[in-house]
Amino acid sequence: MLSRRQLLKTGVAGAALLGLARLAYGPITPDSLYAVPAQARFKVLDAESRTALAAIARVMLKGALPRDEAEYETALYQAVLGCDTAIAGLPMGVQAEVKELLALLNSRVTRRWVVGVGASWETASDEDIAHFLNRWRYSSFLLLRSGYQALHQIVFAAWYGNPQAWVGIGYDGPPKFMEGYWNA
Amino acid sequence: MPKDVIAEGLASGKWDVRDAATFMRDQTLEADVVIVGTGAGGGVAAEILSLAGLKVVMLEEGELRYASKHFNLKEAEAYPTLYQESAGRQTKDKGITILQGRTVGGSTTVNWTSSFRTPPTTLAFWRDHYGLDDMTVENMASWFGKAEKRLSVIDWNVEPNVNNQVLMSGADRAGIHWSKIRRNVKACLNLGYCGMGCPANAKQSMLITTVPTALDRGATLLTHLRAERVLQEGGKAVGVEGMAMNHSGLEPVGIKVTIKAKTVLLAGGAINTPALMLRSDLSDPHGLIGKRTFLHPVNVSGALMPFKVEGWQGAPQSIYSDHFIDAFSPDGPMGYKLEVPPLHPVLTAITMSGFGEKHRQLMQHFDRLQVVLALMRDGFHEDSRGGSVSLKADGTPLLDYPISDYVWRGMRHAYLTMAELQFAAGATRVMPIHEDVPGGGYSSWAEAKAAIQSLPLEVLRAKVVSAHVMGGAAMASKAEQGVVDGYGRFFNLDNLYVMDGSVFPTSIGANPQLSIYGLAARNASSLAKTLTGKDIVWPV
Repeated sequence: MLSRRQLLKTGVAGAALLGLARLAYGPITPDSLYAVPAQARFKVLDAESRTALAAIARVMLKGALPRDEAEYETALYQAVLGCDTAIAGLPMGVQAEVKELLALLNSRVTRRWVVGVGASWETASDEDIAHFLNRWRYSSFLLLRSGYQALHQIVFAAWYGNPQAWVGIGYDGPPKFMEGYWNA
Repeated sequence: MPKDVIAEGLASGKWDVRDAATFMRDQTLEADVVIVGTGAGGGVAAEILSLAGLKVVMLEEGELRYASKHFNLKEAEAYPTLYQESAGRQTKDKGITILQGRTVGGSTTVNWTSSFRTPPTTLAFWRDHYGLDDMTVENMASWFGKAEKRLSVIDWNVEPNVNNQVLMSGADRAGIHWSKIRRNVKACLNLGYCGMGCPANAKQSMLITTVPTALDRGATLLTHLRAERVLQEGGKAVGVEGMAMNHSGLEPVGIKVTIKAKTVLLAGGAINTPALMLRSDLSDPHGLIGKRTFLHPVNVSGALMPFKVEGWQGAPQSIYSDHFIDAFSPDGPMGYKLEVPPLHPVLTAITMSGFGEKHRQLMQHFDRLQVVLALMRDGFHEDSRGGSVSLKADGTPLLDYPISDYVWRGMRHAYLTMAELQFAAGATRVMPIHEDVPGGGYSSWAEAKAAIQSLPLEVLRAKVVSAHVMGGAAMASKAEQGVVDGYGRFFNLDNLYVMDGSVFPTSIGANPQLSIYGLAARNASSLAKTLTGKDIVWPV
């Protein structure tokens, strides 16, 4: 994941990125909240980050999320909540790096020029988001590739760690007979 | 009702186990020996030194989690609670993800039970290059034998699961030799969930063997305690200062715990031990602390089989191939070992490349997915010098491991081998885990062969992982070449010892647990003799 130090080390382009990343901390009005209920207790993700991750998860998990509309929203919400749990379980130093990545995604300036998504996360199309993910995935900049890999890891761990996500993958979960093993 | 040795020990009222997360004020303890870490090295040393009648205090950064209470086989709970950095510890450039335990028993609590003695080639290399003249196969055999007896290392004669069978049949058809893996288990239920903590206490990890014995013998175990530095006084190590961590193990709570001890023994694993040594400002005239860290870097090949694999079921590792360890001498091309991993949804989903429909199509065939791993034998050739551990601003370790062209060449060779044997075993599609491999992989060996030749080999394109961390406080007969001597004695400060995977001067070339057990048993027995004058019979 990106740290500012790593951004610096990538040279001129890196320095330009760093300037943009700094802007991310400026007084920028956040995109309005993606349709994620706010009442749940998120440990680390703020409203902006939940919005961005919901949009990214929606594209990464295409085909895995349920088709039914009501189920879809709940499942996506669970995925974002799972991302929050996954991030909250990382060491503080790594959490700080993830937060820098999220700041980069959230700032309008860096979202447009580094991420390459012009529209707000709420309105960005699936194609725009998939394009961004693939651009980072195959970037010649190590730090953009690491940003993609971080998102990949967080989103898929969050999704497939949830037993509800095992439907349709031929996996029934841990053997049931072990549940009562110690009380048998 | 089955008995859980940990639950019983805790209930007996005789064990001294303290959770530092609950401490309200700073405290100081005294011991003959303080041991940092409860994994393969620390566990064995704690048992032997306790048997010698010494007062031992064991420090563990993780939590005391155990089968009857905690091991529920769920990845989402196991990774954050039982592993370093939620099973996502990474090298500096994020190019390699490392699985390492952080719980009582260390990595032995979560490993896949594969048990190999240190290969003769590796011992020969250490004798020739590091002056470790008495580490002959004959001399070490008795220590491996004792460790095997203590930890029930057995021939595993149960039929391999399908994931392992594919490695076996593919190897046969591709003309590659293979063998069976021995395992440290008793009454194993063949579940396949070793990586989430054995729910039946069948795996003979430190958690249920040596740590309980040490506690029975009066040792103290402090959990949620991060060792911050080694205390020095008058040219001697005199103890360890630690920080109590909160219940999640993520943050220090601001409480200091000091353990004064006549002997300090470090066994926190090959990333944390060198980091602790660096934080302690130990004398290091040759700049060797934290250098030459090895990982057995692993590249990965997935395959879809025309039959069910269900790689989550059954002993995770029962078959291996050393064909390309044996075929290549240490000064020749990069040698590698072939094994398979257990397949569970989270670890599989984060390992498989791509996203969206393509990723999902693969996950829909999760039950037919077969995966082979190639473990590079790093550290033998001059073009494989491993990585180095340094400290981040907050004092936590950072491993920089640049992958050399020599290592990448080994990985390309391994991608080819793995694809060839997976097709030979009947795979319909083979996908080297690499971002540039198309979503569905390759449909024939000819196609795969041509494509693999031109895959760009660089980090964060090729998936590289590791579950074996070694080196960083290497042993050698001379101080110019090593951090400790062949018995784990630190060269530059009295009463300080290292007994974990850090002491290996190269990688092992095989899953390292038994190498650590055997060497720690030898060196802890020698230390017990030095401290008490007694010859310790081990195992009892």
